Amino acid sequence: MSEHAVDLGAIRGDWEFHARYVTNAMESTLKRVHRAWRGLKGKASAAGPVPMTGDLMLEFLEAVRQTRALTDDILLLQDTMPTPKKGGGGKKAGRKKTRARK
Amino acid sequence: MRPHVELIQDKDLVWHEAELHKGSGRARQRNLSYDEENGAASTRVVFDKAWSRPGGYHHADVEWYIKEGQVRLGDRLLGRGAYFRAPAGLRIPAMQVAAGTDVLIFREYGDWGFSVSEKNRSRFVSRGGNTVSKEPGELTIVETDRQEWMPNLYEGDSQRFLKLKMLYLDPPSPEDNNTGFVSIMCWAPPGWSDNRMVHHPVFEEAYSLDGEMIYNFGTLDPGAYFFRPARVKHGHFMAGEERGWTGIFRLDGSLINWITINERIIAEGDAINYDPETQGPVIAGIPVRTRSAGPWDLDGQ
Repeated sequence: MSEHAVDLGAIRGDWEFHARYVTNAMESTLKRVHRAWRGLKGKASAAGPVPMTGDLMLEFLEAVRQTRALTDDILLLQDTMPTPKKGGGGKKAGRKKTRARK
Repeated sequence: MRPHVELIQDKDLVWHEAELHKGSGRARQRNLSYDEENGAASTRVVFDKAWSRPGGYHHADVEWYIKEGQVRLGDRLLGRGAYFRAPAGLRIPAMQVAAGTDVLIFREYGDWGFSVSEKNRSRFVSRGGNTVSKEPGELTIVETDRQEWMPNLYEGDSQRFLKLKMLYLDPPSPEDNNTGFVSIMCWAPPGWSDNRMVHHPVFEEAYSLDGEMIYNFGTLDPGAYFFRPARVKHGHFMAGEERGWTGIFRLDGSLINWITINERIIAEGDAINYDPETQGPVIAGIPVRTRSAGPWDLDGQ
């Protein structure tokens, strides 16, 4: 089991890479949600309820659960968002002085 | 010892009569992985006719995952996505299985034996064959279709974005990671990838339930299965774009990800009477594969 805090820097790619991954995963999963819901609505009688059971409802429920799970990754990305770099012209960071050896 | 099976498709395998002793009805099984030393096995079982069995205890730690159909376990009616586990020696209630039901049955640290009984095998029944817990074993039932996905507990430093549903967790001893047991469902979301190679100190087994994932041993699509002994490298993952990939995993200890990059293998020797380019020997340790998986391109060897 993991024994340390999440360090996105240790994973392939930078923060932008992970943000693009999460966006893509969310988009694909939301498409499944909408497709399943449209299918359920198509099976409903006029002004009637959608079918509450069956494979399509299972698919809808699972896609919604997966969508919810992906929101955890958005929170993770919020927590790990890099601080924007300040504009140019600032003082260059000096080289750290090495301590004299005893 | 179970062999390294990676990668097979269950539809490629022959059917056997199901090893469901003391039950009545008709069922058949495909052996995904089999330990000929102690009788442990991972199987897919299809019930052609209704099947039932009185209460009693297994001789192995046994887990069922219901792919389709219905199973009545005592007064609980379990359907698609349900999972249960009983350690060896623990009495479980009578079971009835509807015709057409399709399940995965995993047994560990023992064979197919089952004793009809009104009580447990002994006064104390342990949590499992690899446990260090002093707590008594118990029947675990999980309905995964009603369970939420949680963040990956086992992120290590590379797999944070995977999602899990915990089926069974017997924590390892603090002194020995290779104790305890873990059974989980894992979802790799669409487009999830990890371009590195990973190995673990424990065995890892998975059966593919949904979606697809391409990795160094081939493509994990529904029905694909592997049993990977400890320390076998695997990786170069890319989950499918539409649904990602979902599978059920079992591990005989806690998952630790050890990462390899820039992997390479160097085999040296002088060919005496053959062409090393076209007649060279294969490396020992090629895993068991079936025809649908095709030959391994040796990626990640």
